[in-house]
Amino acid sequence: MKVIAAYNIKGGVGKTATAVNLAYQAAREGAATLVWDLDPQGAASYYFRIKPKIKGGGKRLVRGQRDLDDFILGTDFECLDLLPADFSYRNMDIFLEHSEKPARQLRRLLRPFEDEYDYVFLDCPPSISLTSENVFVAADALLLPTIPTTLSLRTFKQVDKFFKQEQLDTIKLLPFFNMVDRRKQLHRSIIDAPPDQLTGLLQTHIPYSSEVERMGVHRAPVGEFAPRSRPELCYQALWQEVKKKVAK
Amino acid sequence: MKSTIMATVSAARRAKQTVSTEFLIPGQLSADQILAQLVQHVRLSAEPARTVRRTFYDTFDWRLYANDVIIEDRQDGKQRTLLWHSLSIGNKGNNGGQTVSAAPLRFAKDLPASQFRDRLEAIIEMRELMPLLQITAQVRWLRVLDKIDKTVARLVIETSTVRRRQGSKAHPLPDRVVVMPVKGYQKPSVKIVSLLAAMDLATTSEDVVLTSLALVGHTPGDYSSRLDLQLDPSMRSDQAVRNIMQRLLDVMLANENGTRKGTDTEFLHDFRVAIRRTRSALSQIKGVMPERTLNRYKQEFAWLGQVTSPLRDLDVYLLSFDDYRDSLPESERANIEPLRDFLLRQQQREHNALKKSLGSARYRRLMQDWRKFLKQSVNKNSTLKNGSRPIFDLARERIWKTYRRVIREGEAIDAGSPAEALHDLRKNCKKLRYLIEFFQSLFAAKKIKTLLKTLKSLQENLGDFQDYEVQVTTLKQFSQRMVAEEAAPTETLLAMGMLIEGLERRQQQARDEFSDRFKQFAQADNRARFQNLFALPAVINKDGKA
Repeated sequence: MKVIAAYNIKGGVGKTATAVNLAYQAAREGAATLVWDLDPQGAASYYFRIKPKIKGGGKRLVRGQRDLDDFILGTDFECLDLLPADFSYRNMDIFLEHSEKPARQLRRLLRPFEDEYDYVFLDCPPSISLTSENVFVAADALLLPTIPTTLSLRTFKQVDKFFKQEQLDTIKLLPFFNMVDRRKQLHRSIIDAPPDQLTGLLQTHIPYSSEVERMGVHRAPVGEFAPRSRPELCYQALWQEVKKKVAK
Repeated sequence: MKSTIMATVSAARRAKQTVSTEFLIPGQLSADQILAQLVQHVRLSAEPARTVRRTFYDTFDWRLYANDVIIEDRQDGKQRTLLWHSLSIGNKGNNGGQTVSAAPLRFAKDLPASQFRDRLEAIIEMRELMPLLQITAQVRWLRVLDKIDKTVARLVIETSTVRRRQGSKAHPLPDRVVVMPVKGYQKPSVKIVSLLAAMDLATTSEDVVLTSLALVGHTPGDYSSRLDLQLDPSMRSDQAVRNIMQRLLDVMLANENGTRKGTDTEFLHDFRVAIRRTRSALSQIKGVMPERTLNRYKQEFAWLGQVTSPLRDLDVYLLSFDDYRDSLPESERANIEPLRDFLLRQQQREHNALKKSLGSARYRRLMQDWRKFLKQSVNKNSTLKNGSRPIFDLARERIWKTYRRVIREGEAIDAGSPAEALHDLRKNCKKLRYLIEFFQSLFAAKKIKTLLKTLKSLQENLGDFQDYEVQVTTLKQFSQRMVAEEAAPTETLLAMGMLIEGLERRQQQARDEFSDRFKQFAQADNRARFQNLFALPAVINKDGKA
C-alpha cells in the first residue's frame, strides 16, 4: 500500500481535483484504490456522489471505536472506494491531540489497509496543523499542486522548511505545476525556468481548464466525461510519473 | 495501449468483501425478459454491449492449476488486462489484475516489475504460459442507480461460447447474470438477488473455467514429470521395470514437441531427466532384461543423453545469467553482456543441432523399438536372474546395496580427498535417489519423505560442488572460443575472470560444508531408517506397504 497525499497550505490550488483524478487513473488500471476525504468541505465526496457524513463524526473515527472499514463506500468506479468527509473534521486537530503520539494517528488508522489497497489518496484540508503533520508522517508521497505564481512558490518553501525542522523526509515532497495558464506571462516564465528551490518538481503540469471545473457539474472525474481532453491526458501522464516515484 | 501498471494482489482480498452472486439463465428465459422485469423495481442504466475475449493460461505442467489459480488475459475493447482467476472455494473468480501492453503473454519475466509478476513468477518460475481455452462473451454491463444517480450495485449479463483455440469448434456456455454489490450498499444487491430468485433463476457456484476446460477436452493436471507410479509389491520384477520405463517413455514423448520448439527450457529438462532415469534404471535394476537388449538401449539412451546435453548446459547458464551478473561489482556488470550474446548464439546453434538429432532415423528407431519392447508381455518362464522375483524384494535389495555404497564412499572422504571422490559419491547418490523414487509406492510415503529429505540436502551440496566446477571449466572454454571468434573485449574477459573467481569461492564453500551434510545423512537415526525399510525382514502394514 502506498499513501499519496494531495496537500498544500494554500486553498484553491486544485488538491481535490488532483486526488480524485489520480485515484481514478490508478483504479482504472486495476489497482485497489481508496480516497480518504479529510477536508470538512467534502468536495471529493461530492464528486463521487457520496454524502460527506461519518456516523458519530471524526471523533469516533479517530478513537477507533469502530473499524474504519465500516465507513468506506464503493464509488461509481470499480476498484475505487471512498472514505467520506464529515463536517466534524474541522475539529480534527482536537481529536488527534487527545491521543498518544498525536502525529502518528493517521498512520495507525491506515495500517489495517496495508493488504487491502494498493493506493490510498488523502485529500487534505489547506493549512498547516496537527492534521497535516499526521498526513506528512503517513504519506509515502506528498503531491503539492502549485500554481505558477510567486505566492504559491512561497508556500512550497514553507512546507519544505517545516519538513526540515521536523526532520521529515523531504524526498516525499512532489510539487507540480497546476492550473497553468500559458496566456499569462508570469505562468510561462515560471514554467519555462522553474526556480531551483522546487526540489522534486514533477515533469508533468496540468493546464488551467474548464473541464476540471465541470467536474462539479458531472460529479465525476474528468476522464469520465471528457476522456480525450487535454487535462485528462495530463492527469494520465502525471499518474504515470507519480506511480514511478512512489514505487521506489 | 498504455504502459503498464502496478498490479494488485490486494484487489483479491478486497474482492472477497463484496461477494458477487451468479445466476444461470434457464433456456426458456431471455436476458431481455429478465431486464424488463427488473426495471419495474430498480433504476438501471445500461452501457453498450461489449465483446470480451478471455483467454486462459497455464504452464504445460499445470503449475497454476496446482495452486488453485488460472491466469486470464482479458481483452475488453482496447483495454487488455491480466487477471488472477482463483479456483479455490470461497475465493472464486477474478481478483487482482494488471493492465498489459500488446505483446502476447508468455513468460513471467516479460512482465514489468510488479507484485503481480512476483506472485506469478513464484509459481511458474521460468516456464512458458500456454493458452488453454478462449471464452468469447457478449457482455452487458448495467448499473443500479439510486436517486442521485450514484451506482449502488452492478449487473453483468453474459452470453458466451468457449473454444480451445482460435478456429476450433465453439461450444455454447449457459447465459449468466452476475450481481455485484458496491461496498457499503448491501440492500440494492440483496433486493436484486431476491428478484432474480423469484424469477426461478438458479444460482451457480461452478467455475466457468473449470466447466470450459472439460468442454474443450482438457484434463487439468494430465502432465507431471513426477514418477507417481503405483507398483504392486508382488508384481514380477521384469514387468514392474517395464512399467517404470513406460512411464518414463511417456514423459519423454510428452516433452518432445516442446523440446523441438525450444522456447521453454523445461521441456528439454524434463526430457533429459526421463532419459537419465531410464539409463539409471537400465543399469541399476539388474537381471530383468536380456543382455543384448539391455546393451543396445544402454548405448542408445547414452547417445540421447549426450546429444541433449550441450543445449541444457547453455540453458542452465542463461537461466542463471542474471544471478551471475549480479554477483559482480556494479561497475563490471555491463562488461559481461557480450558473454550473454555469445551464449545466446551458442544456444541457437545447439538447438538446431538437437532438432536434427530428434529428427534422425536413429532417434525414431530408438523410440519405436523401445516402445514395442515395453509393450511386449514378459516371458513367463524367464531365465533372467531377477525376472520373476517380486519387485518388492528386488527393490529393497537394490536400494540397500546402493545406500551402503554411498555410506562407504562418503565415510572415506576427508579434507584431503580429491574432487573425483566427491563426484563419484554424487553419482551414487543420484542412483540411490532414482531407485527410491522408482519404488516409493511400495513403501510408506511418510518414511520415504523423511529419507529423501536428508538425501536431497546431501545431493544439493554435492551438486553445487560439481556445478561450480563445470561452470568454471566451461567459462574458461567460452572465453577461449570468444577470443577465437573475436567476440570478447578485454573488459569482458576480465569480468569473466571475476566470475570464475567467485565460482571457485562458492565451490570451496560447498566443499567446506560437505562433511556436515554427510554427517547428517549418515547419522544413526537415518541409518536405522534405511535399515528398517530396506534390510531387516519387512514389516508390512495394513495398507500393504512396508
